[in-house]
Amino acid sequence: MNLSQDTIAAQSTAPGTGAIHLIRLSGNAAIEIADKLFRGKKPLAKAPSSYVNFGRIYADEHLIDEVLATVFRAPDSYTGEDIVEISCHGNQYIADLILENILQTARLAKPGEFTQRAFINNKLDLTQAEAVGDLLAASTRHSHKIALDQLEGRLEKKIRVLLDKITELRLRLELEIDFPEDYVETISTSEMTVKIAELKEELQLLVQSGRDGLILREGYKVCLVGKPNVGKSSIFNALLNSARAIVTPIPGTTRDYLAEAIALEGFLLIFYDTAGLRETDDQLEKLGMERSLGIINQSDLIIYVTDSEPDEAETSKLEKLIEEKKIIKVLNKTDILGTALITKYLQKGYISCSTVANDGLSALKSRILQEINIKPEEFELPPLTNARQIAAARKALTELEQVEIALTEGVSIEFIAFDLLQVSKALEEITGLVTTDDILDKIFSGYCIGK
Amino acid sequence: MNKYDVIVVGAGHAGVEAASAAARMGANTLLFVIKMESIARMSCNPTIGGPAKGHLAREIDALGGLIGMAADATGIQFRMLNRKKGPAVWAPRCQNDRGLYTRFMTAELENTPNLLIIESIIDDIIVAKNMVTGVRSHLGEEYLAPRVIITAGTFLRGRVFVGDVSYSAGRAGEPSADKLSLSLEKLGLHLARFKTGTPPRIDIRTADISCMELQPGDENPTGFSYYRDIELKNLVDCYLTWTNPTTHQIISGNLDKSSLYGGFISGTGPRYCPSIEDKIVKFSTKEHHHVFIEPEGLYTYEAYVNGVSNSLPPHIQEKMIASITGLENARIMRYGYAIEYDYVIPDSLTPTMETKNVKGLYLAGQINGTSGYEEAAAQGIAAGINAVLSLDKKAAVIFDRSQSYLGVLLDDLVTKGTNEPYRLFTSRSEYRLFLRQDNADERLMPLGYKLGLVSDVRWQKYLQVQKVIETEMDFLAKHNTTLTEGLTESTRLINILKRPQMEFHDLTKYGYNIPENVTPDIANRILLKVKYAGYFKRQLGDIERFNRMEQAELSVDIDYMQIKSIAWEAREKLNRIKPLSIGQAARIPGVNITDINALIIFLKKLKKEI
Repeated sequence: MNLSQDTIAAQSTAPGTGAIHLIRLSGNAAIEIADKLFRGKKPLAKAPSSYVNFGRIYADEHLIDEVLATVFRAPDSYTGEDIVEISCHGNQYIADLILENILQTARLAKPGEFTQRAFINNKLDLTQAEAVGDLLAASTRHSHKIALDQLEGRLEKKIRVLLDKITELRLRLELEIDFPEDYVETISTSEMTVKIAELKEELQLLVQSGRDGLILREGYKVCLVGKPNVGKSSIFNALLNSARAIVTPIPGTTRDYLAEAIALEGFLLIFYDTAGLRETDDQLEKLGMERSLGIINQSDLIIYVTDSEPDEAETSKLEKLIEEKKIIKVLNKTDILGTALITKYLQKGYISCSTVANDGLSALKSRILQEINIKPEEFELPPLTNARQIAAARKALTELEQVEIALTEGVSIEFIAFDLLQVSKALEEITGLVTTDDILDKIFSGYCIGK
Repeated sequence: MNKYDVIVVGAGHAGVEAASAAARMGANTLLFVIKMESIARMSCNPTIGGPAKGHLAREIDALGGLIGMAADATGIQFRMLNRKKGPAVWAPRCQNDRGLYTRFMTAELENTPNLLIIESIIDDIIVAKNMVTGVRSHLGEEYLAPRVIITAGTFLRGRVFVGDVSYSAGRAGEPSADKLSLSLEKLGLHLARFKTGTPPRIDIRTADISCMELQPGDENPTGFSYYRDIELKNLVDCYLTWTNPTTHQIISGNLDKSSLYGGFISGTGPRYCPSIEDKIVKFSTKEHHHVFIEPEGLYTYEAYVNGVSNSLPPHIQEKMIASITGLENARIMRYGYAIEYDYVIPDSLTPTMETKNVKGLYLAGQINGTSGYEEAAAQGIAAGINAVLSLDKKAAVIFDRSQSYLGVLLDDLVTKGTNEPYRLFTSRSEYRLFLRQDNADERLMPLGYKLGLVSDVRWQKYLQVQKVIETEMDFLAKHNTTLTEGLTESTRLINILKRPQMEFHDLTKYGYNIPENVTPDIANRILLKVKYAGYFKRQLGDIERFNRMEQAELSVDIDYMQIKSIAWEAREKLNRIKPLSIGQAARIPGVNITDINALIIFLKKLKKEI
């Protein structure tokens, strides 16, 4: 049987009105299907690859639009299959009409299916394939940069360097195990310990960069908490420069939570406005508060808002709740508070602000940026950008810690070699590339072995 | 008259295992040898074992093969390598009396029922409709059998080289088998050339051993064979000396006269066992290379000069030897030589060692591009077992790489092929911690017993040992320490063993009396099982994952060229190898993870369509 894949099609530009819309077809029948609708100087089947062809799209003899069509022939295309890209005018109705006609013979592509095909046809490795997904979703300048870097294989290079270091250690151990009579210099436990410590530091950086990568890609999550009616929603709205959340003086209006994303200095920030925290019998409100707690747990930063006398009991309760979270404390409504009170708060490290007087908000924003604590120069590091990669890096770190333990316990070298191999495997999971074990090749080329 | 069940061609280390296993499994077996006096001859160094090789010898023994028994019975010095390193990579090794080894094996075969040995040269394999039917000798005689195992070693178009002189030979002093190569080629098998070599042998009386480093055997010799109670004795010592810059000068000054560097040899040699010419050229900065002097036997003064394998002209060999410390006056008894020979590219075999294109034809040993007695013996026993099983229409035994080095070897050969003479190393195994020399019986003896290759007497002893291990481990897990040396409170005895650096006999300090039936071997096994339980558990997790891939079977009828979503190179390779499982497919070099994904998607689709 023939496994040539069926032809898929989809609109590649975001839906709505724009300058142009792009419709993409990929698969064996891509050119044939496009030619059914396209009329130009010559059919696309005869058009050269990678050149733009002007023409018109007709459906049932009715002109739909004037378009530009480009043919990319297999294997020199993004997916490795035949691709036709049709650019039409940026009207959603037109784009829908064209796609509808194409879909009479092609199948609608599932999300990510073009990239999946590129992966299956060996056009991209796993990290590159993921990077494309990230690139498509990239909504701010920094996340765009990481996606591009990864596409260039920078993460892979970084992993490769780490893998090489581990391989070098493994090689020394394998030499000792497999060639005991060759009198090859052995590696001492102390040398091993030093090298493992170095590796650990690098891996820790990688995991840390994973956290940064996640923030850059998925956004920095900021959660507003505080008693009801202290003005969380006002701050939320002021930060968003919009009036999305309902702002009323009645406690408990924001029963659930609201989320909104903004771009700040190139970072993607997601603000959550939660229901106020207080004891309540209202079932609906209880539910809202439970959700608030969930949001708090997932957040990178908490903004605690208050508007009156410091309530030590409440803040300590909150601090307990968010033990390991970063927190910014805000005193709101400074326009109606007395100077003495404000001073008292400022001494405690609060940021004072007033949404009514439009005061203190820029100070709050710069504090948030400070908490994000990702330096532009660090964007040069190729960070891990999704949960799968971070989990693999964490696993590698755990395995490396196992090596450390084994070394202190004086476990013999074949077990240490085993642990090191696990580190390698975990690192390989990040790039999805399983390297063939060429340790023996390295031994034979680097060491004079054999009686 | 000339009809048999199984014919084995060649009585080297592969051939003797194949013939012995086949005969003992009840097949009427005929074994051909080119020269009766050279059955199971150790044509290279008189040594069995070492890392991975020692493991393999113990595995073959557990399965019911001969190599471990012969090594123990004719061993003259025993050492456990890596003893100071780690228990999971301890590697038994022994020096053997070359002559005794051959005599022992010959006697063993002569006393095997169902087995006939004939001295002859086989020229032709007779095949009808892709089924083997027998062989034809150089005298024109036909011998018929539905299963034929070729174990021709280095004899296929073998050519010996010494300096610029070369002559046709299977090894020094024996004729080559030239016509058999043609016969194999006619059957569609692909042949290529490898080379290997041996060093000169000297009269040990002419060596000054007083200026060499003494290498004695272990105080408590450990051998290879399980449950045979062969008494092991250290009867000789080995000696270590070194080459020096003068030696290197002699060699580099005469490289053009060496067969290897003079351009006479084209075959690839093993990188792990380089000739002295190779060592000097490739590692020119090294000022010394080690040279081991190994006695060849109890009734000869001949000694093997391990480390200086070469193909230099005789007078240069003499000069080179004389430049080595302690060998200034040494007299060479046999000159070193290189040998070039045909091997069959092993991807034409299935893991049972049967050829894919001729039913009933098996190849085993050095003919498949391997090197080493142990590697040969392993393939021999696997081929012998499977030839008989297929005759009896029983399921084949596929050795699994998570269960034995035997599995690693066979799988590597048929899946990855080899571009140099293949030798086993422990690092070739993904499951090294589990594939230890101490537990080869646990891994393979039940299979050997089932096949009828392990005697009842040995089997009962095995069961007994297993029982002792179980009982003692149970005891240690249930009983507390009674003496609390260095302990704040009493604890289970088993917890003591788990502590770093704690040895089995340390338990006596905590009130445990080691029962008499707990031998040092059993004590060691218990210690390992307890101390490294965490590691073994992790390794077992790996093995489970491995098995899932291995159990995803692939039909040999799949035409991979039709799966367009797989890369072209991978399709070609898959079609050539015809892997038996997804696991094996994934190990083929040039088949990467995306190809495997595409294959899985294809198979799922296919299933849906059916």
